[in-house]
Amino acid sequence: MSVVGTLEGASSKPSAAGSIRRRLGPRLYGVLLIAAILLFWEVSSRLGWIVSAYWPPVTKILWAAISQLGGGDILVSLAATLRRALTGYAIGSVLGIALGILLGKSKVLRIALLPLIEIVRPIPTPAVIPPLILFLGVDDALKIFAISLATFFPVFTNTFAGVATVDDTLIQTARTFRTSWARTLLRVVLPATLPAIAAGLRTATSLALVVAVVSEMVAGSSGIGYYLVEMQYALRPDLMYAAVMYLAITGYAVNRLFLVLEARLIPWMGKT
Amino acid sequence: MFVVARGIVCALLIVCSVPCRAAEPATLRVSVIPTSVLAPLYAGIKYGYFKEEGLNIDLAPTAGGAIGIPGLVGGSYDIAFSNNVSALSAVAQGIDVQLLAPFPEGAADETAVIARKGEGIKTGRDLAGKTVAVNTNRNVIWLYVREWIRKTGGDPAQVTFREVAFPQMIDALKQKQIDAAFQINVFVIAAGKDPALEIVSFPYREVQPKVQPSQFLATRKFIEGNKDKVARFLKALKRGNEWFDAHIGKDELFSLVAEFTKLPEAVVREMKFQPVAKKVDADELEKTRDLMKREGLLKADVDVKKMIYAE
Amino acid sequence: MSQRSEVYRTSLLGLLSPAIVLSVWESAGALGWINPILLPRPSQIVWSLVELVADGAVFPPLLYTIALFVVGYAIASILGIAIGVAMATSETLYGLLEPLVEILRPIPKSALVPVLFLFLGIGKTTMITVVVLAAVFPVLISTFQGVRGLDPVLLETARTFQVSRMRTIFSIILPASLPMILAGMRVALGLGLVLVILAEMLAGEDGIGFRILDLQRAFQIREMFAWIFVLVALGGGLMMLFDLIERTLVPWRGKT
Repeated sequence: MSVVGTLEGASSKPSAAGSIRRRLGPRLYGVLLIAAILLFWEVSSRLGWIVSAYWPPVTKILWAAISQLGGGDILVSLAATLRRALTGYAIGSVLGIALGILLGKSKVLRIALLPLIEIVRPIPTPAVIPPLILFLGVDDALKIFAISLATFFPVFTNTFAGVATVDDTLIQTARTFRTSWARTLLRVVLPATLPAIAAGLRTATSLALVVAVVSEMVAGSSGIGYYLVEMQYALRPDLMYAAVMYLAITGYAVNRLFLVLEARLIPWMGKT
Repeated sequence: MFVVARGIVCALLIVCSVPCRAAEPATLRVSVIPTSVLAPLYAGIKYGYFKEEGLNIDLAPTAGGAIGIPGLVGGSYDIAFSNNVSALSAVAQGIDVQLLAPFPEGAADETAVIARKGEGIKTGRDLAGKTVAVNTNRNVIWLYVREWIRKTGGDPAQVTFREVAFPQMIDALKQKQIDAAFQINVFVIAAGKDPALEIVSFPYREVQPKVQPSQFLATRKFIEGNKDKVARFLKALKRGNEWFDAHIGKDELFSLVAEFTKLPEAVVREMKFQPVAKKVDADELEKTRDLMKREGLLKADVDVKKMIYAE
Repeated sequence: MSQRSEVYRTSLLGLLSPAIVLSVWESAGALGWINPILLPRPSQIVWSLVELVADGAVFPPLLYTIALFVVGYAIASILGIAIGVAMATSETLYGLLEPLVEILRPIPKSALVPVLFLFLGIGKTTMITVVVLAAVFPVLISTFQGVRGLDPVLLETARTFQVSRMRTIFSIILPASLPMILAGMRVALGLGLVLVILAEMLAGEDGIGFRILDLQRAFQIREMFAWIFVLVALGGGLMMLFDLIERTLVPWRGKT
């Protein structure tokens, strides 16, 4: 079920340092395409083809992005968003894995909880924010709750499905050797389920960021989601686009980091 | 499922609220929108009036969102900046909020209907069959633009209202997705400078010139448990108001507003600033209530006088 | 998922826990333990729901949301599959598109909603674009991986028999990578729903997302919950439909 992976696995032949063309390989045209799009953006804004207060030239956006590096609001907002996303992600994942395994192994719990989980699962997270505000207010409790909720479902679903596919003979063998219940879980079930859990966790990373931004847009007073809206009101589209840029870089970095960790920690991933 | 959610929620709340709430007893959490109208509050903070009253104001800005009252109910804020229509709807639904203090009487001169130049939109009658943008459906802007249409010979039933966020209205106008918009100060200034757009009218002037569209409010429960804090808050706010009134047209005010709205100072210099209203005016609020009743926004009757906090 | 069906085999058992939760909620409300303004009782919410359905008020926003979602999701799926296959089978197209995809993909799409409203305007086009952007990447990437992961012998054989490129794609590549494509589409379904609701909330024209926010702002909490129930039904319905389609198209799935 590895779904949100990479576009790699393409025959990117390692080429010796040489001309740009050789180093980029087939991607040269892709990079040129992006350059062309950005150039068009720049020109359309400078020459006034698109007249809008919210269509700044690319160079202005880049300048705004660079000037933030010396310690601006964007980085502070980004840090707040990441802190929330990470906290919510951690809570949602732990609950997702724990309930996924427990429900996968215990029939009683399955009967008690699965229907409830399946009822709540299809609600798109933004829809629960308005009612939750009335109970949780608009602060971290709300945002972290929403992020945990969004994270929980893919992790739970994948873990649950993963546990179901654990080879019964493995468990039987463990039982024959009188391995304790906890040890079986830790040494047999968990490793066999890890690839599935990892796939769920990866889907959840992008969801966590999406929902963090959403909750800040709907009920924010800090964080990058709020910043985006605030900059619209402050007539600073350059900063708004710059914030989107930083967010894109963050998303990219998170995905990369995840792949590296996955390769390190679960070397048997994708070999089943 | 919400019971389950509530259980978890309560657990989370206990974990979070104990340390962050009890730590600093003299802190007031105030929900604000970074709009020039709030200059007196920011002045009070900047010049230490709240501090002198032993209050620490923790500002929670939200951008144009109508989450002030929901946030009060959810316990995130002690005091919220919100508008009269939201307050009246809340009270009508059984949410017990009280209006603490009003804001500069500038609404009438700052908020305008704008349209594309040369299309002959001058009155409500010209809007028949057209689309008008409001920031929030069934809220204050919507209510007053409908009344303005009626007063100037039109029929709101023949007009389509679309919810568009303030920053997007000008572009939506130019792209002809809407034909007119009821817009707030910053963007009215921008529209005034745009050769393609024009200012049609200032509806509040024609409908209810002394309207008080926005107030600070708190729940009755909070006020009763914190009478002293509320009194000190109002005292410091009053000094902020006095500072504001004394600095209209002066550099200190422009730079203060530019600072908290994050707007370019050149834009702020073009804004109009009006003196602060001294108290929440029950008569004005009754006019708003009656308009709401007529538009079907209020199902229960509301005793306006009981909504206003009396020191 | 045999473990799931086991719970639902006897429908009574499956209903047990929701029934308990609902009755606890109902009685807590009736006993005044919860504030009825903030959390109405299920019976009150159901009553509002009945009113919504009875006077037909439920249908315009429901259809609005469904239409936005279905159009966006369909475009995203077709685009995702087409680009995914193209990138996986042609080195040139891979080179041309990979950098662009890698730049756009990691942006949390919710951040693009305000930006898109600014540059595409406030209409339905923008909302559909939002759904497309959210849903296209999971489909694209899993299609790409599915096609790249195919047995090379399969493609060699096609080449040996001089099967045309189009035919190879439609009768060999697509059917063989279908399970992966569907896995991507499943992720896209959830993301697309999240974004369509958000877009409706921010665009403020119509749809279930707009209703929920609008009613919360008017403090009509009971009606708001009724709409959330509608949304649960919609989301659940779409997921069940997806399961059904997946089981029909890939009957061997889930039997591993």
